[in-house]
Amino acid sequence: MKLSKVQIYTILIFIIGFLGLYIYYNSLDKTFKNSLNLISIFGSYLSLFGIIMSFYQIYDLKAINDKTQKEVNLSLIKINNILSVSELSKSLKIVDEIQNSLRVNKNELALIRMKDLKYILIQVKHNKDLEKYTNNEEYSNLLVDLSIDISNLSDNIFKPQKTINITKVNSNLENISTKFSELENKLKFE
Amino acid sequence: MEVRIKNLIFLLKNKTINKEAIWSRTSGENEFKIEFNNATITTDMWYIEDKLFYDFAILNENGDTIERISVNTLDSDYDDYMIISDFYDVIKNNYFKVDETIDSILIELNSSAKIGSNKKK
Repeated sequence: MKLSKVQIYTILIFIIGFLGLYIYYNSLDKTFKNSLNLISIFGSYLSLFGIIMSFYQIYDLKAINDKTQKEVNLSLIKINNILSVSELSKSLKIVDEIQNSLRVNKNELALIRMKDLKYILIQVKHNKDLEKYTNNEEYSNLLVDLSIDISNLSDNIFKPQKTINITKVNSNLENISTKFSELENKLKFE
Repeated sequence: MEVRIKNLIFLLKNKTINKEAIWSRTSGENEFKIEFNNATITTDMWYIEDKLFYDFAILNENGDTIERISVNTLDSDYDDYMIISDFYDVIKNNYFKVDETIDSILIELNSSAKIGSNKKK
């Protein structure tokens, strides 16, 4: 069994203390040298040593707990970052899908994917790691513009007389794509 | 229509007339929007089978519609129709700078200066 540095130091301190007390006991006057005093001195030493060791162990355990908690938190942040990056990559693909669907006039399909995109936009908005990038007017406008586009596309499907400017929808989607690429890179490299 | 919505429309219309409101276009062919800190207001106009529709909507910060008033020439309350249609016309005129454009033409016409240019120059 290999002893750790702390264990070796503890044993050494114990032995040195023990020897110190032994020397002290020997230097006592003969009248004080009796088995009761011997037990009392060494008993007190052992109790004191035990108490100090207990305190040290409690402190050590607390430090280990703090370190473990820190590591767990770091892992959680890393996992959240990975999830966020994957969500953002997914939404970039969704933007492509919507633009392709609009190009071939599959507006119903585009509408479903636009609703998925809106959900991700809201989810990203409430992501704590991305809050500093999303808690601003620019991001809110992306969300509102997408919502207006969803409403207009839905109206266009059910009331074809109500026309929609697909170029503007594509331009709004492009803005979302640019923003998400920016966020993805910030998460990856910052 | 609720009184506070009427009031809101009235105030926004006045701000627009006083050129203190910046409107922009949306993907709707005739729709305009204006952004507030935590909300967006849109107004739209369209035809369906000879019926003229006007629309006024308030969206929250997540883009959800929290209030929508749609009126048309045949089925709506006359007062509501007039309020929304008048509001839309003010916004449209403001966005396209209709009054400024007509005024500037009138100024040119009333002056003694020559108008028009010979592009073949």
